[in-house]
Amino acid sequence: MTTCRFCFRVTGVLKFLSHLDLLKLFNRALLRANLPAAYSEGFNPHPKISFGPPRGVGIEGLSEWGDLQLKEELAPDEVVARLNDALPQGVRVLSARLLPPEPHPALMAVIRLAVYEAEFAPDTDWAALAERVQAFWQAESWEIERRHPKKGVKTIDVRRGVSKLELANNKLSLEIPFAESGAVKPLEVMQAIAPANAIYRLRRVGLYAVNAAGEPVLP
Amino acid sequence: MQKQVKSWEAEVEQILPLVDKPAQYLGGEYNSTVKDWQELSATMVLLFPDLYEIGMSHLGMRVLYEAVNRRPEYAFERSFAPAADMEKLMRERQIPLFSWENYHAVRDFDVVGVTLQYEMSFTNILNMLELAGIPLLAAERPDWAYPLVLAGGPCAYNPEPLCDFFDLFVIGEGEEVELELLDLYTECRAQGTSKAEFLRRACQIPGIYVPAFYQPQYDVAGKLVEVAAADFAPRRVKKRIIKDMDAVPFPTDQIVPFAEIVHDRAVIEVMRGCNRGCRFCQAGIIYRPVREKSPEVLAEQAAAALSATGYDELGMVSLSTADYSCVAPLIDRLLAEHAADGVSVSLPSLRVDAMSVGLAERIQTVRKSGMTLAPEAGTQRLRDIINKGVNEADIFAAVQAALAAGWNSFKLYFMAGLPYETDEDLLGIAALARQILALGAAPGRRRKLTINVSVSFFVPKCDTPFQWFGQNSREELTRKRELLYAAFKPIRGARLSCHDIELSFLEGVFSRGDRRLGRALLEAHKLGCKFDSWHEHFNYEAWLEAFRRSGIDPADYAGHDFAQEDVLPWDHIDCGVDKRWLWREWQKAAAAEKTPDCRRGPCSGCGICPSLGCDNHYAAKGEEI
Repeated sequence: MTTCRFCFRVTGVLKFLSHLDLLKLFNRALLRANLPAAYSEGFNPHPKISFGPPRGVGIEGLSEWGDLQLKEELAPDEVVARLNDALPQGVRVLSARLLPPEPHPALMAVIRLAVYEAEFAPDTDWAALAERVQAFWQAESWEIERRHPKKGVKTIDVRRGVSKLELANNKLSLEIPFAESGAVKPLEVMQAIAPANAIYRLRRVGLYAVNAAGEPVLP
Repeated sequence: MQKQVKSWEAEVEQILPLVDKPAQYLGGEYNSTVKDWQELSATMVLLFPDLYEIGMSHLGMRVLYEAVNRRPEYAFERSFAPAADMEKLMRERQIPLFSWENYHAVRDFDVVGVTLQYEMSFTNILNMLELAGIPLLAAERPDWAYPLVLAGGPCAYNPEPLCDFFDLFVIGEGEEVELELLDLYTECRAQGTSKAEFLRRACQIPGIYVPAFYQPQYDVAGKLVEVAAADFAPRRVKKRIIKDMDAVPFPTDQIVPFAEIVHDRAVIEVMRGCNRGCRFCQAGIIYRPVREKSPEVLAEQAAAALSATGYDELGMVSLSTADYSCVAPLIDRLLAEHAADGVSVSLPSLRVDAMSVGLAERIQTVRKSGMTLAPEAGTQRLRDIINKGVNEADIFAAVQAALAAGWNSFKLYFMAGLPYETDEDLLGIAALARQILALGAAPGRRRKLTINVSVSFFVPKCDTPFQWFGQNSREELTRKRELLYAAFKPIRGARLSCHDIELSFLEGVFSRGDRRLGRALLEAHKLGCKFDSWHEHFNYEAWLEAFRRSGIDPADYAGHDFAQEDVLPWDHIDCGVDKRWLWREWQKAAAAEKTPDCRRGPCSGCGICPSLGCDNHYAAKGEEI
């Protein structure tokens, strides 16, 4: 059994797929691609494939990660080519590599940091935006209410969930670490920051592990 | 015909974050066909008047998609009814109804087709045309300023209630006639032919019904006396069929939706038609004759569909797959070829007999959802009247076989309000439930058996032996429902659920209705009726108001008994089965006399084979049939 770790992107309207939809999409692509995927045992076998932390519905992902278990070894380039043949246009596998045979933690555990980028429309009120970014960044805490259909209303400090915020050119860069207690949702941060009715395009541009020195590294 | 039309993708993208289940609005699914409009001679969009999850589960749409898109000069795209939240945003932001492939506005297509699957989707059709910005009435579209709007599907066998809205109807199976029509359209548009002249030529294509050329005549009492055809139009429009099912294009590169749909699996179409001859069943008449595909072709198409889609489930689709003459060897072959890859096989419906249960056991996939059987009526007398072809011994054998195979839950389907039905027949449903529960309580069985009994209210349909029968009144159906609930109350282990009486009543109004109903439909649409078959949207009061405003008594339409000599509103649409045979069947029903399935018994003379020049075709020869 070999694990193939691959990097992929989800763009265009396919950003509206849920994590579950994406999982189903990859399961079917694996069958179409005729890849020697390893399957779970049991009545309803499914391919052993796992992903990094889910993206919010409606956010593009430019550098997402997945682990695929293969029954037999296959050249990573071959995995990339065959998967891309079997995937719809909005999902593209960018690279893949085989992990060393020793056990390794799941992507969900490895990935500690997500970097987002919001690109604002040209008619945005830049002064207002810069002011709000500044206010948010300097605030001690920034509480919002998160409504859940079953669990009711919960108060969340979104400021503490943001480790970096930078406005340069038309783009707002946003770093959200994955803490023990989870991570804040980028859309909640954006609602706190963006001026009312501002139009922007939000993308997750990178996911990172953290090395011994505390620096972000690719998973 | 060079075309530059706007894509609404950016506008749609803006509202998708605000709606429930946005993935249902995404085109570009794997295996969908997106063509460059610059290089096409005609474009067509098919509207499915229900949600994506329903429409994409429908095989007919996929079959037409394949047939038209195989031709490089034509594009065939899809559009579905947006859910209420999506529709609201589209209206607010003036986003027109669009196609899933290209996000092109529906009104930018040359041809707009609508599939007519059930009567209670009619208001959705009008709502979708309105969302598309297309005038609803055909009379408001006299020239080529708007697309040609046509319809087909089972409800086209009585198209009359919809005649005000459509330029033409396609009667029967569409794979060939749809292309003939697009060819004529392309030719006429290239020649600068007017729409009126195009329609005159279109009505010469067998299977095309142009309602403007057929005028219903009523007597002073308002009774239909004639539907007068224009002198250049055929007296009757005969349905089209595909004679050689092995040769017809079948979509093996099936679209794989991003969002979950109701029937989320790869499919093969095992056969068309069913000649069991259940007298209540419209599908059993209008899809005649039986045309089975060969097991070799099916095995090939199954393998191709599975590898092209990546699905791990294969559905064997037809009206009665257990009747397919090679069903057992085909299932064995499919399992042998694909089970090792984790593929399961499913049958959409089962016959009520031990052999069908044996098939279900073989494939094992239905176990999750319980065993479904449809005895349809509670006594043998009534089952003979409806020619169900099932006796008590079959039912108990099926139940015993299913119990032995480990099923502990059953779903049983019945109808109430059938012709010649008595209270005894209804109480027979409860008695049958008790007997089945007793079988499940046999000593040595550990798990308790539960049964869910579902009762629908009979709606007489055109082209069936029961087409002359007036539907039971709402009061009578309500009384019958109460009788059933009372009979089931003391039965432990059985749960009864009944369909909506008002909805069945409206279905009855339209199924045998005539052209005058178009007014009521339009009023219902104006009053906001849509998604009528979705319980949360059904607004019966609005419907009643619509009938009042249009001066129509719906109870008369649903409950009217036709006489033998009456002109029926759909008489000029020829489904290939002889009306005299239907009448004989109606008389035999009165005498509780059965008619055997011509697959097994002698020909009863329904007339379909000589009418269409196509005999029943079975894949197996001799004993296996």
